[in-house]
Formats: sequence, structure tokens, C-alpha cells
Amino acid sequence: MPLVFSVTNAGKVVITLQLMGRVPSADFQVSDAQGRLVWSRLRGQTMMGALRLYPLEAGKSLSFRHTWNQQADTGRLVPPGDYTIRGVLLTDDPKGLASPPAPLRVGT
Amino acid sequence: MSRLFTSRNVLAAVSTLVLASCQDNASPTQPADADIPAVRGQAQGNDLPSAAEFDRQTPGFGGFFLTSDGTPTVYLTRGASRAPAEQALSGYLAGRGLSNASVRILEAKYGWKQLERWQETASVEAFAIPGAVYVDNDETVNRVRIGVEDLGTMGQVRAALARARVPDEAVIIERADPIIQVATLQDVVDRPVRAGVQINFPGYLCSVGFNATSGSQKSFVTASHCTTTQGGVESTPYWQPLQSVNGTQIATEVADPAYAKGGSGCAKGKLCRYSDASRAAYVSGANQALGLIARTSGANNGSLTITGSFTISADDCSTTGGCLAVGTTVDKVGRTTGWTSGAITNTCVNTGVQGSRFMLLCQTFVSAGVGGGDSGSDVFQVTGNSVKLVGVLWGGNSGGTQFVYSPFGNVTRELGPLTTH
Repeated sequence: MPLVFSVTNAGKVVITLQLMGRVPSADFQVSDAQGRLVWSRLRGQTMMGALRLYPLEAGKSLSFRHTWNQQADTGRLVPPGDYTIRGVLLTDDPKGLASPPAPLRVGT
Repeated sequence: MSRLFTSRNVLAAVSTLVLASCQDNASPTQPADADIPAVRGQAQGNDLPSAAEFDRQTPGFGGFFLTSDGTPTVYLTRGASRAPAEQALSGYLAGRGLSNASVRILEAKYGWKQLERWQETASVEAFAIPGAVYVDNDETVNRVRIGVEDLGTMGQVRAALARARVPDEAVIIERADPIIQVATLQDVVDRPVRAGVQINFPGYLCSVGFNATSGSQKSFVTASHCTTTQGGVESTPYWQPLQSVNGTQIATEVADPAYAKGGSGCAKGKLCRYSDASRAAYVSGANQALGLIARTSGANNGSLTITGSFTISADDCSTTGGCLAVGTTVDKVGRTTGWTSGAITNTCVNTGVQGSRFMLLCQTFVSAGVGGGDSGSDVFQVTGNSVKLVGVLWGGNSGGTQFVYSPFGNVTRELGPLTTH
């Protein structure tokens, strides 16, 4: 399942984002219908703690692509059902900058 | 003009966060315009007029304010008509369903423009005297209000205003607390520089780890990846807190050993070291506060306001991996999440670094808050009134709940002997 997470500067001036790490990074997080996190791309990984000053021109986007193999963090395929997925840009805020959750359905 | 945004306010400007998930479709989905929430200003028609505009429209205008219950109140000099004032406020009143009768009129002794001129004169005179705090054309009392730190200053200001022909009855002088600029870990111009405050090198922000003398060279230690290139010396320049705030360079990178393949514990294809640490020498004339760590009001409370200093009185052992056991509480002060504290969860961990070929050997994991920009932070153990320095923070998990540091023994193994206090 291909995933794309984009952050766009919808303003009219360049802005400088403060992004965690040496290179811009984003997490993808899948939760089940009960809101339990079942998969996180960056779970268990150690990130560098520098803060990159990243200029983003007006109208430009920062995009991240990843593929989810529909496995949970346990390594098992998730059961069929409804899930939500969100992208989280890693910033100076430990909570990051998260997208609204998008619904997805895993079929049988 | 470039604007700097922190993540807490970035949503106001970077209003598009589009996640596209689609099955059996390898091409990325582009954000649609309809998904982009517009950032719009409020309508202006029902806003209050500026004082200058009010004055232009209203003969005899002496000032305007809203009372605590929201009543529009206008000062007018004796004989002035209230009708122009009501007209000036018509948009504001209509927008709130208020009638013209709701406008309260007070008798002004002075016109607003005259008070503006006296405020300007009083500013010049008062701020020439040490102890003046503020000078305001106070629209709630139709007077110029001046705040001073003490009675002595009050007398000097009053005499100066008399010489400048500002009528004494048009001025209220009162005692006021001095206005203090609050310094935080992120914006303080810290001289001498203490551990924990923000440093800037081209394109990045990090934290000062700790001050140290190597031989006779005054220095600070920060993370190896808080240099232009991680591993190897490129003479990275440092400013504090930002080059744009204080353009005088404070230090230059002088030590950052190369990462190497092979060796005990180093996985195939990885580049390894025992510490993500580097050393920068202060430029001649720059101050260092050897043994001092900036302190905020409390651990894990989110505050970045500096309230004092910790004093380093000891260092952890020189053994690789350090001498603290799992369960020991350690602390750190860094520019992003301030002072955080938590228990060591793992010691002597060989850990990879997301998105890189680097691997750090024999590191320590701590269950405590961390954020981007905290790299380089001092890690220490509070021991009574002083602290023991135990390492340099360089990373954490994406959730910001666990930080990773290189123990002091690992740092000195690679940077050589350091005097820290």
C-alpha cells in the first residue's frame, strides 16, 4: 500500500521549518478502529536530535513516500477491517506536525 | 523575507497536511486545492477605528477605551458634540447590536493630539533618567502616565518635565516594577556561555553540551552531528543563540574523530564510534562558564525560562559505557524540551541511527523527554546542590519520550581528557 504524506507552504512567503534530524523525516502511523496504534514506521528507531532549519518556498511541498505492507509492529498481517493512518512530520515539537487521520480499509 | 516557524505555530502558515493512502496505485496523490484551508484575516468593517482616525473624525477627541464590561467610552473636551464620536463607532456598535446611546462620554481636559505630543516629550526626558520604566498616553484617564522604579527617579522626572514645559497636572507619575526581559534557553545571549543553551551552526540548531578545557584550550562539547559534517573536522562555526541575533562567532569546531568500519560490535556496512560528540574551541575573547549548566524552574515542566545554574562538581567515571546502573535517575537541559529527568532504561547499547549508516556503540537509553534541537545537551545526575556530569545527549525516539546519550567515558575515550569544572 503506497503512502504519500505532503506538507505544503500555502502562504505567500518562504518559511523556515525546524525539523528534527539532519534530513527531514516523517513517521506514518496506523491505528485500528479502537484508536490503538498498530504500526509506526519509526517505532523503535533512534533519531538524531539536531534541528534542521529548512526553508520551504511559498507553494512548495515537502513529500514523504513509504509503503505499508499491512503488517502490524508485531510482524503479523493486520486483520481485515477499518483503520486510520496519519503522517507526522518530525519537528522541534516532540509531538511533531501531524496530518488529519485518513481512513483506510483492509479487505479480506 | 524569510520567516522562522516553530512547530507550535507552523499550522497557521503551513496549512496543508495531506495524507494520501491508496491501494494498488504507485503514483503519489497530489494535494488538491480544495484540501487547503485558507488563512483569512477578520473582517475590518466592524473593528474599532484607530485613535488617529477617531481624532480625525471627532472634534474635541481626548481618548477612547472599552471599560471592563465592554462599554465604549470616549473622552471629549467640554462643548464637543457626541454625534461624531457615535459616527466613528457606528461600525463597531452595529457589529455588536449596540445602540448609539450605549456610548459613554467623559469630559476630557486635554485633546488626544496634545497628549501625544506630551508623551513624546516626556519619553525623551524620562528615559534620559535611570529608573524610568514606561511612558504612556493613558486613554483611560486622559493623562500621560509615567512609571518609575523609585521615589528618587520620580522627583527627577517631574523636574525634567517641568523644564520641558509639560504641565504637571497632565501627568501621572507612579512607581512601577522594572520590566525584565525573560531569557530562555533558546533566545538568551548567554555570556559566559553555559551548558544547555542554544547554539547555531550553518543550517542547524543544537545545544551546548558542557564547557571543557582541553589542555589549555577553552571549549565546549556538543554532538558530533552538530557539525557541518558528522565525523571529521571542518572548522564548523558556531553562534549563540543565532547568527541573526548575535553575529559574533563564539567557537570553531576543532575535534570530531572520523567514524570507522569494523571493530568490536560494529555491524557490517556501518560506520561506528563510541560517542556522538565533538569539541569546539571558543574564539579568543569569548567567555565560557566552566562547570555551569543553565537551569530552568523544574524538571519535566516544559519551561525553557532560565532561572539559575547547576554547578558541576564531578564527572562520571572514564569507563566506556559509564558507571550508572539501569534505574538511576539522570537529567538533561536542552534548548527544545528544557530540563527533563528520568530513569536509565538500558546501558551499553549498540544502536543504529535512523536514515544513516552511523552506529553508536555502548550508549545509554533514558526514559525522559527529548526533542529536535536537544542534541548536544549535557546529561547529569543531581547530587545535592551540585551535579555529576555523565554524558552528551545526541538522539531519541520519534515520540520524544526516550533520549540516548554517549557516556562521559565514551566522550573522553574519543576526544581526550577534558576538564569540566
